[in-house]
Amino acid sequence: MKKLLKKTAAALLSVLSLTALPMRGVSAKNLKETELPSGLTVYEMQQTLEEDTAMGAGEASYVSAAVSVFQGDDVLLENYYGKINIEDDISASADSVYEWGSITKTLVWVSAMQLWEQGKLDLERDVREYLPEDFFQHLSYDEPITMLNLMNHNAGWQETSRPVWKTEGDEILSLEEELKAIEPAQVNRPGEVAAYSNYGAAVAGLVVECVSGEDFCQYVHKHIFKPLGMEHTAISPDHSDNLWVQEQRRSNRSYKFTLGKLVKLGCRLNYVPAYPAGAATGTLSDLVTFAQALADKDAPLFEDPATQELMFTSTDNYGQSDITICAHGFWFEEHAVRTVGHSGATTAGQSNMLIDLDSGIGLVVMVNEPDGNQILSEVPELVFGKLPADKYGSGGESADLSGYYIPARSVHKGMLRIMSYLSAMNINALDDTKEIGDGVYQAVLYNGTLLLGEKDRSDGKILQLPSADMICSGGYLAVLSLIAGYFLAAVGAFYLLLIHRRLKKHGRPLTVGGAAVLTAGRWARIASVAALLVMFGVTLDSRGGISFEIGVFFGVFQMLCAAVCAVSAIAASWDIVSASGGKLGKTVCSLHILASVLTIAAIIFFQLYRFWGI
Amino acid sequence: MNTTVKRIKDLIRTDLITMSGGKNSQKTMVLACVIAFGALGMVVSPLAGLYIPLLMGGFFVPMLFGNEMKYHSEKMFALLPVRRKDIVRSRFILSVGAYLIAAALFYLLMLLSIKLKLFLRFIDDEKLDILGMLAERSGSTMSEVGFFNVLYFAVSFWGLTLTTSALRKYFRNSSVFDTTIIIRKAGKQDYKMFIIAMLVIIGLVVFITDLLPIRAALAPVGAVIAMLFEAANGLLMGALLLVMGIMSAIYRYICTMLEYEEREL
Repeated sequence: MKKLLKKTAAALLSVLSLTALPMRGVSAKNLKETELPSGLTVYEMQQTLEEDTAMGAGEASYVSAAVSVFQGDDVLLENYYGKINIEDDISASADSVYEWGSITKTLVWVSAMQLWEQGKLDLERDVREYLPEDFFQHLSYDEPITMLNLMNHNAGWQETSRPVWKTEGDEILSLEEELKAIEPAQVNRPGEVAAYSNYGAAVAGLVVECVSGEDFCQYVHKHIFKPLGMEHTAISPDHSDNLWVQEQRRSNRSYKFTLGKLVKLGCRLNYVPAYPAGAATGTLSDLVTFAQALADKDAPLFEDPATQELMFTSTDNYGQSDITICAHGFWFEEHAVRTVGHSGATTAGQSNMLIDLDSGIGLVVMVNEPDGNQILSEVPELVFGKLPADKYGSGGESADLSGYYIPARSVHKGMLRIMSYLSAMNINALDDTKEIGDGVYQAVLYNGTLLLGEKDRSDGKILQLPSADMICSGGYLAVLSLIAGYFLAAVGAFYLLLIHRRLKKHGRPLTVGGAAVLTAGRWARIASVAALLVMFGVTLDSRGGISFEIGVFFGVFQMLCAAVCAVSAIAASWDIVSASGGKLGKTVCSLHILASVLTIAAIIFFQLYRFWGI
Repeated sequence: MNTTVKRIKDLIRTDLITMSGGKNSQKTMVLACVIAFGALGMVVSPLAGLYIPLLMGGFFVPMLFGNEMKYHSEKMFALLPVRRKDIVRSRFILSVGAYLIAAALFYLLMLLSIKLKLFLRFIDDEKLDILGMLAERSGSTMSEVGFFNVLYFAVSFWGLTLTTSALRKYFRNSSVFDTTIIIRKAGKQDYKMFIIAMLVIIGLVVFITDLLPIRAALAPVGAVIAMLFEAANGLLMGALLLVMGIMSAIYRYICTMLEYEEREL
């Protein structure tokens, strides 16, 4: 009895003493009162977000999102919104897995810096010295390609035109073999133009493999995931390196909104064979753990914190200024504070990771919508604020950046070349652009301020945007005229065929210019444009490129169309020379020759025949 | 050649006189509607200007030949020493020419409206600037002028198609614009139109309700069309639509000429 009383008293005392002691760390209420760089508290940020996205008030403008805000080791906010699978009624939760997308590249950059720290990798050495012999088959320049070029995405490669996704059941080769299969052409001198390159990042992953002697997947698990305790993230293309993630991923579904209506996209289980570029998949808390490690001044991922500090120093700036765009593969974003991080997008969803290195505040957002959603787009500003218009001065004179600019990140050689011209942007569309100085410009848009940089190179201007240089196209209007002429030739051919059919029906066939060869030429013009549009559709589908076999089909088809156009143009010329058919006949034949020449010129200039791609 | 041109000019003059003559001509009403929408385009929203090509497409031909139909004077040409080819040619030149000139004029006016944004001065509400909002929030590289280009050229193409279709129908059967309801037995054409209408309605229902996964299948098609629309701030697609409209007009002109020459008046 005495013993029992003593034990009870001791227990009571210990409970009392625990509650009397001040709590170490911050209470849940205090965390919510932490002020963010935007000026809002965490609580206010959450309230604003939930009000703006109409959560619980009726129709939501998102399907699901996982959001976390941290400061140092403290997680200030960790919320899960909506459903990861509407059909099976699975809500987003701590067990939900999302695809990192290109945030995976940060694992490559961290790995590279770890090897640099150990003296095994020289960031300024030609990576060919680390890779298997004769690895690159389609380089155009002799200049070395260094790890820094890969980190800055300015090794000079264009976008690959081969499919970058595979589906379940497709064979996944080794990283080396996959990269050899999708090697794009090198279209710029290394160091000149930044063109975001999944291929380049994956090559960097292969360099890590070659230098470390370990499979990249194994390396990341051993040197990043395990030390940080990230047990719910996979990085291999089919997630087989983490069976729990593999199973969870299969219960996910993706969605998007089209014209306000929800569209179910299904599981969208697409694999990234060049997996260092974007295959990581895992829980929100794992990615937060990784982000916290990057924000930690003690740099748990490195032996020496100075390595992490170096990793976040600039390797590419806007214009000639010291305003950082890129730091060893990490992108800087301008808000009320400057953040560093990376975003990611896959066919199944999007993610974003941003860190304010000064305050140690970081944000991770993950969604299962490939087009993103309102939460993904609003949260960064709610946490980090907007770039003030006068942060870099009130701006000087209005800038004249007039001209058409083609995205550097596109295909410049091969069958998809025409797409780069179709995506050209007229920079005059950006109103209110002012020059800050040192080749830096500031554009004030409705939703904030945007920084642009300008660099000159031997054959023209380059406009810098984070991860997306734009190349000034001097002869764009001429190229646009060729595109217009190509399409108009097909439209004209279609109507001429209708007119011929009608004339024939009324017993009045047009004898000149109506010969079978000319008719075949008209069909060839229509078929060429139709094939191009179908090829676009195939490319824009989930595979993200054209396989070699499909490329051969379209390439050979375009060659045939060009040949038929050439023959019909010669036949039309003969009709003119032999003066059979009078004035009307001559006019029709002349127009036919012009249309055929335009079609042939477009096929050649835009390399629609070039199925070998590089 | 000069004789032909003179003949065509005379026929155009005749049509204009016929159009303006008589009581209750539709000219005033149509012109008033066009000017009203033009004014709305300046003071309310440039999008109101999109109605103008449609108005002209729908009402231009009935306006031109309203009096001719009313007084049944279309058969007069069977008695006069004019070639049927010239009648068709003159009317197509008049209709298409007037349509294109008016469409171009109002296009420039609406561009001015977008530039000046007068509508914001009359009604100070940013939400009226729909084109501006589309341009900023659509994620597209097109400016508000680009969006307007695409919409206006698409509507103009449709209006030109309506105009030339109406002309062709008029030459086939001059009582086609008679507003008296005639109860008659459904013909082959009526059944064909009915089936097409039903298919369109079913297609729309399936698309909206997503009974079949056609949205996902159409996504690449939509992406291709969007890409073509965005090129050169809508002008590439605009040029294509314009040429399509003109080629379509030429096609209908040839069809009309062939049919009218063979027709018993």
